[in-house]
Amino acid sequence: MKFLYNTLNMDKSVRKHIRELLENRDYDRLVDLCEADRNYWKEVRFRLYEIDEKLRWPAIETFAKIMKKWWESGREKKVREYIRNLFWSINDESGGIGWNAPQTIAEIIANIPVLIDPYGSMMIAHTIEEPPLVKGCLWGIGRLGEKMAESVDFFKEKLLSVFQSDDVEILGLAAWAMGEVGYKPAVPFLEKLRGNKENVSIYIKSDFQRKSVEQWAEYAISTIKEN
Amino acid sequence: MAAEGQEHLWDKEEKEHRTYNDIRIFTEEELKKAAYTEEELKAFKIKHATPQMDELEKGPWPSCFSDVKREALHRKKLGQDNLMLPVECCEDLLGQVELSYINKETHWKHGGIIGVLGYGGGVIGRYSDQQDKFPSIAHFHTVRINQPGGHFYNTDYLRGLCDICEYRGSGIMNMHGSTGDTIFLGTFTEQLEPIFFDLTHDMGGDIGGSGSNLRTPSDCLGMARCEWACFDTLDMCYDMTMSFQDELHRPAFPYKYKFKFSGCPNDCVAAIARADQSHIGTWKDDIRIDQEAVKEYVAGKIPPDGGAFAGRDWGPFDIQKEVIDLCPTQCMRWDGNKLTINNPECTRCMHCIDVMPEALRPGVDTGITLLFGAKAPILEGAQMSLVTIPFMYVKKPYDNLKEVTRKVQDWWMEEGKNRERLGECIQRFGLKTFITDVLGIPVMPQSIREPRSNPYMFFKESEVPGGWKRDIKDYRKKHPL
Repeated sequence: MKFLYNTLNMDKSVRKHIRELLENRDYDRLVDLCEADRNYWKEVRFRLYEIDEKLRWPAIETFAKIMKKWWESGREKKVREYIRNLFWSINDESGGIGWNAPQTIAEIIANIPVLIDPYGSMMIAHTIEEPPLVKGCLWGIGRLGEKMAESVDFFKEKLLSVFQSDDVEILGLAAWAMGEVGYKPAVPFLEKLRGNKENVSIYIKSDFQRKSVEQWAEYAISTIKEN
Repeated sequence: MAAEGQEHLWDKEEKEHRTYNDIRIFTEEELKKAAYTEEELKAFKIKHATPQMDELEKGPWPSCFSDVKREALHRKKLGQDNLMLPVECCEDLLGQVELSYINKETHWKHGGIIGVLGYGGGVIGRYSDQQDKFPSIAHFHTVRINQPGGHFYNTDYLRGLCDICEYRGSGIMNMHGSTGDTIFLGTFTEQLEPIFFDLTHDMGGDIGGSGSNLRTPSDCLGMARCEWACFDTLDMCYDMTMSFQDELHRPAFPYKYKFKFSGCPNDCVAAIARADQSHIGTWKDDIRIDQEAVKEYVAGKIPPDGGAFAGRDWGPFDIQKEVIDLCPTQCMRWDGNKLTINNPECTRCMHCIDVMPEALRPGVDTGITLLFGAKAPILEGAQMSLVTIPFMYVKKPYDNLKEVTRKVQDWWMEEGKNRERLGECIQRFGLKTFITDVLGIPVMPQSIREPRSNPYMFFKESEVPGGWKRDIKDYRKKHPL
């Protein structure tokens, strides 16, 4: 990787460029630039903390695509180090929080499926009991779907307890995730969500889908029954 | 506000500068009602029995117990309607600490991942494991606040901070944490975002660093008050803080990374002991000497050490014993009439300048010494920073400093293991790798104390003036296998 050292102005121009590329979802260019210039790679990592979802999700996807490229080019050790770094960000005892680490870990696994063992179940173990990370955990489970069935069953009680939440976003994500996994024990909990008309947006296949909690639950129930 | 005619520039020039009255949470009337007399304090009993903590109030020392008890009474008088956290949280805190004294173990649960959206650090989660007994401290998160440079507050800002801390937290503050931040001790998760909003939108402040990111940079008060400052610590600290915002708030490092800025080698913020990247002011030319003032010190007309040795008779000042003989490099001489210094031998220990500040001053060709790698014991034992760039001119916008900083951080981010500080990473790879491969600086003999006995430093022939010829057969004649 080429190292370029620049002034603050250069940083600003990199930041602006990265924002444009993320907004346009120009993943090929993003991956190439991150390979060529460390400043771009660093900037993508910073954008994992972005509040603006239009930048954050593409940053997560870019991160995973870079990992995939490295993995395929034999840099497996490096990929594992970055995954460990993401886990460290949700396990740091000195006051850190990797807000989007679970989503990023799941997206990496989606790009490099062999990493499901052990990182899939580790992702659940590190996040399901941390309130700020539960949404990311559920999104990660939904993103990986059936591949997570075994891990979801292992964490059955903790996962099903999220249906007691008052947070509609958690309920919507939980419903969608259980549907994607095809997890039958969740059906009674999903049925209780009928009547909840509040809307929840979920990022699926690089787009936001908006439905009521009830609709997410109905969709999940029908998916589970089909399987 | 400042006295008439002595207003700080900030008050005059900053547009829409807010005073306490613009940002205050409690009204004057509410605060007056909450004021208590010393008699009321004496009569005040917290709801838990705390015989062991009561001991802390005995003796001549300030007591944290007394301070928290004061805040407990203040909260009670403010009333629950004026507070977002339970009015009894200070009392429950003391109750839990008492229980810890009895059980001889902490009742705070380990960690807890918590934060404000968009930031990856600045809040340290803390929960009680005795929530049934002490419900009002079920959550007791710590919020780190980025302190003003050199800890220069005005009362508007301080009162604003106190209001937020009391209204949205326990009202207990730590001025300051060892990193330098202002610290709010104890708040609930629900109050984190409101605190963040009040702090940033109303106060124009920011949260500090924690976790695996750049920690809140800290500096000495520098040229604002100190005649020895060799660079503008306040400006550099602010500039570096603003330039490294992503590093401060969006953790991407293997572990913590600290900047500290000390204006002179006295190093009042202990940069050399605590910062991964220490900036310490120094000078290139000679120590300035006022020979007449030296004579006055010798004659006892000026008290040495700025008059610090007081309270009893310390005897007459002895320049030979107290200055010349204590010079670590023995580079000073006093012939009874004139003080001479062999400046190339001076290691900037500052002792002579500290003892005779009116006679000796740092030189005028000033800059910084850049050091890397200090840390407290973590994976390895404690380390002091290592002088890496002995002298660097620093001028706004400090591009040369930022360039070096990025080189170091980029290397460490690439090669450092989780929880490995920069100093440990340098140890693992070797100083040579850090100096030559990472920074591109030629190795100098001065980089190490004892070149011939240091097994970690190897010079290439091209790096040594004149090079050398080595014949292995010749060597083996003297050193057989």
